[in-house]
Amino acid sequence: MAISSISSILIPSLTIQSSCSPKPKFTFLSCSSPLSFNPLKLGNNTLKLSQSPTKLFAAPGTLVETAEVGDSEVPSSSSVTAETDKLAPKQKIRIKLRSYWVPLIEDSCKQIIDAALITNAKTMGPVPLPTKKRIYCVLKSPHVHKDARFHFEIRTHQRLIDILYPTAQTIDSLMQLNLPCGVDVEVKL
Amino acid sequence: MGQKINPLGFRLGTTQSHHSLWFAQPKNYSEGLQEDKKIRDYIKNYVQKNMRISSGVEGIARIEIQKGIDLIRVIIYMGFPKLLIEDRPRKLKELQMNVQKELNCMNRKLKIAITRIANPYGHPNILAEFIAGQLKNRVSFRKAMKKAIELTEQADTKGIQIQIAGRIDGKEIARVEWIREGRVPLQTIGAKIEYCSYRVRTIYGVLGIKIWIFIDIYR
Repeated sequence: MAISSISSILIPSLTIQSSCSPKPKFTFLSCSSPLSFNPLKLGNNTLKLSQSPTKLFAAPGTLVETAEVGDSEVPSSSSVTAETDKLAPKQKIRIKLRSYWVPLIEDSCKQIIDAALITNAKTMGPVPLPTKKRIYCVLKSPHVHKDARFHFEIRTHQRLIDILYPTAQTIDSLMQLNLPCGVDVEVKL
Repeated sequence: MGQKINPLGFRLGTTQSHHSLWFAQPKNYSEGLQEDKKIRDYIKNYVQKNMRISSGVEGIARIEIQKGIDLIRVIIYMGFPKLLIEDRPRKLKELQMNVQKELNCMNRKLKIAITRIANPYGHPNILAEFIAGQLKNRVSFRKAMKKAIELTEQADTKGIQIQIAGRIDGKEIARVEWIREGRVPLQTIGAKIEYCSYRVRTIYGVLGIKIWIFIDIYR
């Protein structure tokens, strides 16, 4: 039982190691040998003798298996990405909105999405990106009194809107949109 | 004992709104800020210069600045815009040209608008200018404060507190005097409180006037 349990432990460890560094067989044997010492002190010699043939047989087998698995994985992933590229439109407008005030930016998001939907373009809804906070610490007093300070912060809220399959109509309506003053718009094609 | 924080800054997220509405990347933020300061200083100096011609208190309550792409919009909230009503379009255009020259921004459109406030004496800036005028004319400070409070009572506010600090009545030893009418809950963030801090230059030195006006509790 002990031997079987150890071998069961060892073989999965071998597979893990093979996935990490597939190339050399000898390193497997060399790094797995200390493992054989660790688990049981009883009958180490017998364990080694019994395990070495299993190791020799197991290592190339696992290597081959993992190599095959790796190869099969790679082409499948590349085929998946190719398919998604074909689905996604070659032209899409990415709009990034930035502002210090939340109601303003929400209002602008709504205006942009309304304009896009009216002209029948698909939109990826307003994605709120993390808010950036800039914190300033200044002395309160004009002279001396180092311990009395003021903390101020500036919070920049960000939203991201994607417009897929834009038509000329959508671009026209977006250009004509009048967004409120405190919002910064960045458009990327 | 603690000290008092500026009630405008304390309420900025909630009952108080910003006076400047624009966005700038961190690189350009300082330039935008300097432009704002120049606009505000220039407008105040211009109004004070032309005030000597006509009498009365020309009170600017606040100046709102909105900057977009290619556009700067300035809205001046005034209590008694009579100076500009008399000669309105010409004075406004003059102001616009001068401000544009100051800022060197002919590539951006500049629009200046003047709005009148209802109840001008309900706003601390205008009240402070009134008290400043009285103190310069060597009226007794207590009389000046009481008169100011009478004016606000006509203007529908729930509480007012006035503080004057410095060489009061020209005395050698400076002191701080204050009076309060009604209630002024400074710790309540939901209370809309207008605050102003104003400097008066007298022949004896500088007097500081601070006015807190409690308008309403926001529900």
